[in-house]
Amino acid sequence: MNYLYHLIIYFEIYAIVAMSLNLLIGYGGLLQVAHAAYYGIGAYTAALLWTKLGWGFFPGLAVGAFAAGVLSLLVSLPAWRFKGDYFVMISIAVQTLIYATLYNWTDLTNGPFGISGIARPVMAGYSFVTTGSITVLYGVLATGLGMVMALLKWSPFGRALQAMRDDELAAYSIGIPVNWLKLQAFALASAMVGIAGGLYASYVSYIDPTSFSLDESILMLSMVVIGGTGNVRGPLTGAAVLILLPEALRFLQLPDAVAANVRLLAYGLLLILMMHLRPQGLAGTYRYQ
Amino acid sequence: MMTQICAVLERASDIPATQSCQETLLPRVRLKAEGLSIAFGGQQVLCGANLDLTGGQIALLRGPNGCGKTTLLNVLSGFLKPDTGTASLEFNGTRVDILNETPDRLARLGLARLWQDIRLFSTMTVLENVLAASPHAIGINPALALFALGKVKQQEREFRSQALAWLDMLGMADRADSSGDQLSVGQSKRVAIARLLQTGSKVMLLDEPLAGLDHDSAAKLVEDLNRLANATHRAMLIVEHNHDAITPVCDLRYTLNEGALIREELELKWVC
Repeated sequence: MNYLYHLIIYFEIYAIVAMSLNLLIGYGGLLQVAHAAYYGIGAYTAALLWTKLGWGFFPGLAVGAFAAGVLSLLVSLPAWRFKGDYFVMISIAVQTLIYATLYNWTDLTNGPFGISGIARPVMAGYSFVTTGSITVLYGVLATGLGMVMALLKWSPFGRALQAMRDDELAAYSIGIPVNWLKLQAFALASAMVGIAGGLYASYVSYIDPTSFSLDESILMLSMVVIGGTGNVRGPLTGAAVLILLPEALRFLQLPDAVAANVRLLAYGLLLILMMHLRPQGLAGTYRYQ
Repeated sequence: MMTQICAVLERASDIPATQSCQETLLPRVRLKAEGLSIAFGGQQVLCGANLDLTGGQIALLRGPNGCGKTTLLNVLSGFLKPDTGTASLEFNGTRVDILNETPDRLARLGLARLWQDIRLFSTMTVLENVLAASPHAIGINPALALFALGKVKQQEREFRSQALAWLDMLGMADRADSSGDQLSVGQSKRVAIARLLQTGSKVMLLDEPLAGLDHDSAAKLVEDLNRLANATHRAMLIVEHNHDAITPVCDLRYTLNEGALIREELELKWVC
């Protein structure tokens, strides 16, 4: 039963991650490849506040989200000038920069040794120690954030993002402040993935920089591409598929050294097949070009 | 002049109801450019171009391919900065320096353009295309979209009825739910014009609105544009190669010749 709860908790965390990335890729057409770095900023900020300053669960989570939102300026400001492939290169550079900072700023982050002893969530005196209780708490948070995403999609903000995705020049010429819109979209998506990072840190109780590398960003991107973009159910499908895929491979009982490579092969194959056969993803509405 | 415009307005029965007589007569609009010059890599495209256009006027901008007509529209809509010269937009006594503004701000101030290649939002419906241009939508701020839901919804209802009214006027209301990429060229142009109108533009810069249209569609669109300019006191600068179709409704004709604009006032104009 605990194994099932564990899978559900991972799905809830990655559902938040994929929905936030969908705001950028699916609604705004902004191909962000530094999402894991903002996931890491949320996780590290919250973990440091919890372990070193003894902050409460929600204040730590909120400040983690805020830090990720503010630091999103590192990608959103270049997005004013750089588009398409050039923007992807910028976001890879930002991913590498933040990863290197987490890895090398040992005084603050403890470098490759990571931060351990992160407490499980505590709310109004109730400690969420069991996996069952965490499943419920994270489920409520993921549902709330999913509703926020759905509200934004149908709002003038979501419509303006979609207009910018379809034709940035046309959107600009009819009065949509595209640069300001990019700032807002990156800040919102990064804050949201920052929350997911805090939830991850609190659940696994130990974080190190390897959980926030470029590989992780590509996994997040794969969730959105495979699940589909442009609606809320697409990224949820992608998160479910990519959480369950490694678990399914586990039953093949491959040796550890082989299993990791097989998993990467499976991701790659899945991405190529999706691009050829179903560019809009399993449950998406927008065909990313 | 006031009574003439009122008479025109009374005849134009299909102008959206929200454009009341008082509202449409009040705006005093003027687009003025002086001494605009711009060169690309040593080639002088505009050389001291002067232009003056007021509300209710339709001006044809003509010239051979590659002479700089679209460049002039790019300068006037804020997409290009000229090397020298001034350009301003006056609206009810307030003067805005076009060269200091970004295209999105200019659109919100009442100056918007139609692109030669139309540029509809292909994954959005016709109605969404027009709604996307709604001016000063409070819900474009994500915080207000979440926390002022009531106000946003009320404003959306108003935008929606206005957008449907423009689509109805341009004969596209029955395609409101069609996807933006499922329209003919003529229909796409009508939607793009509805999108311009939704921005609340007082000055419309139209780049080849009749290109790709058959004779009847072109005549109908010219008639609609003429009625709009007369009834709602909008100013229009139209780049067009189909001179025969557009000239009868024009007040002015600008010819771009070696970077300079030659202005002619046309006497025989159709009135609705």
